Amino acid sequence: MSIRVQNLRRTFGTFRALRGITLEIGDHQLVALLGPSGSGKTTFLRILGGLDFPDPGNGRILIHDEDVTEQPAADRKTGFVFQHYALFNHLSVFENVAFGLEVRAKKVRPDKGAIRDRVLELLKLVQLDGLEQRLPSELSGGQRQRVALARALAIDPKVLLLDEPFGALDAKVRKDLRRWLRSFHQEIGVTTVFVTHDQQEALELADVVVVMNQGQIEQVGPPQEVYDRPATPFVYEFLGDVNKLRKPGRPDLFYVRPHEIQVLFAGDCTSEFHARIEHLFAAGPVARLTLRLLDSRQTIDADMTRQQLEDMGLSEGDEVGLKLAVAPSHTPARAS
Amino acid sequence: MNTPSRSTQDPLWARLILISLTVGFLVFFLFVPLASVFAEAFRKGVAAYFAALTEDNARSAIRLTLSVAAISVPLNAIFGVAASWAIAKFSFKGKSLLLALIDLPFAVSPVVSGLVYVLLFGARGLFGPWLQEHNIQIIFALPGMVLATVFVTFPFVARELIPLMQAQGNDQEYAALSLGASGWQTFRRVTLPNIKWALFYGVILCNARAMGEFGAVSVVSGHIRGETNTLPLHVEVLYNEYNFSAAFACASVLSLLGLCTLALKTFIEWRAGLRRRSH
Repeated sequence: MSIRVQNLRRTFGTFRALRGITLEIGDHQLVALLGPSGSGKTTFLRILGGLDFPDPGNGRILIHDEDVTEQPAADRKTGFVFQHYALFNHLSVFENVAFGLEVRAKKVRPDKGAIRDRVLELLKLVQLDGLEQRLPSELSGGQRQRVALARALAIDPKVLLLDEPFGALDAKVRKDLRRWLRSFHQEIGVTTVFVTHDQQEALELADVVVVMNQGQIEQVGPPQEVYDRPATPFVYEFLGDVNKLRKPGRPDLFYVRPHEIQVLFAGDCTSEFHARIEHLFAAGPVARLTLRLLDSRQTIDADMTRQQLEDMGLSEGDEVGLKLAVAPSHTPARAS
Repeated sequence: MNTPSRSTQDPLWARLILISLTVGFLVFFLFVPLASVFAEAFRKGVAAYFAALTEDNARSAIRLTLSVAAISVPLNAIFGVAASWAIAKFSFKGKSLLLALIDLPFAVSPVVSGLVYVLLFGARGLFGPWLQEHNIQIIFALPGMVLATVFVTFPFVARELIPLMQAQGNDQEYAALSLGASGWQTFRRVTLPNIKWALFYGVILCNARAMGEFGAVSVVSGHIRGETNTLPLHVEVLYNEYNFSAAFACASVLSLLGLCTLALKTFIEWRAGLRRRSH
């Protein structure tokens, strides 16, 4: 196990940021801490990195089976990458990456040549070779992010911790960097934990997604599992679009995702619901229909392919029948 | 081009009036008095000017002024960095009170700042008897003058640093720590380079005030000629004795100090501006 956390609590004044976090993270995994703002994910990451500490006596953290709960950041050897990179503005790219090696005690500090080799090797790894003499201010956002990554890797961290790694970048760079980070992680193999509030990012990138809410872990699992089998109402609503439906004649609400609703012709006898198309949005490969149920007056979303839509010749105002394409989830929905 | 459009431009007469008002004000209230200091100083010739500056009492006053500044400016640089560090980087109870206290020396009259020390350390003050018993002289001596100067000039460095350090946040320090740097390495390699221009700026302002301070130092000095007179006090003594050209000669040294400070300040602003633009 790379990281083992037991019953971690953290309180700020009266605010309980973490309310008993227990988690195990295996070697070489890429883990996403996913949750809305205020869910405690960044606090958790900072505690893992030794930049913050749990309430005294509340929780244990083991990294590579060593108890580091009381260990300050400087001794912990966790590579931390900050949301806004926190590069040293007055130092060149080279000096930034070399920092973690230069500050070592004389006995364990590599000599100048070795530091130089290591830094250049790291810069090559993050595809910034040739830019070592630049100042951080002369780099783009994506480049700064990669300098921060190289700087964190220079100390041979036991784990790599990334706080909202793509938060400050524009959409295009985000996507490129996301893909790059995925393959980069496969290459270096260091156990990596990153914080994000973007479910798409978490699902696309991570081996394991940890969904957090209000200082607690709601669910841990591979992306497909948390998406397909959400453990709690919160996870259901937070991951992907979802409708809350009540079956005719039944009191309980259940969740169903837009792509799990099959749209039929109005007269189809297998229909479970009847609805009218209020709005049709058909840019892209998937068409999104906003439907109003005829009996309960409730509005729900359904997805269908453009091909289906054209074949059925549907347009706004049409009446349709609906059928659930999958068995309804066993997760009881929260009444809203 | 940076020419303002016609609609945002003020009419010619308004601009002329504003410019001549500003220039006129500067000439009458700043330039003429400053020039007259030098004119008055050299009235009896260059020889008399330098004689007035090299005379024993003047030399002792210059020496004392330099010693007071040499002690109080480094002290305030250290206090200032410590206070701004505490205020900008930590959150604790009573932080806003501390912030207000830092400004106290700006708020109270320098005379009061001096009197406080007389009340504490003077012969009839709180610690007076104890100090006398142990033969320690604070009031009417160098320690008292340093204390008064430190008090009066305390806000300069802290005031420069606090907003800057607050704006910079802690992330770079945290980054350094997580890379294995010690607290001292973090300060020297990360914090100090980030604040060095603001610190330098605060220090020269602090120095200018320390050398020029009159009120607080006047109260604690006792005006012993050749012993506890700083340069500003020496100017006053000469002036009261109708020794105008000598008074102005010494005053001109203080004015030169002011001009140097101004030049340095401009240089630092220019340097800091260059850096800011490159970020």
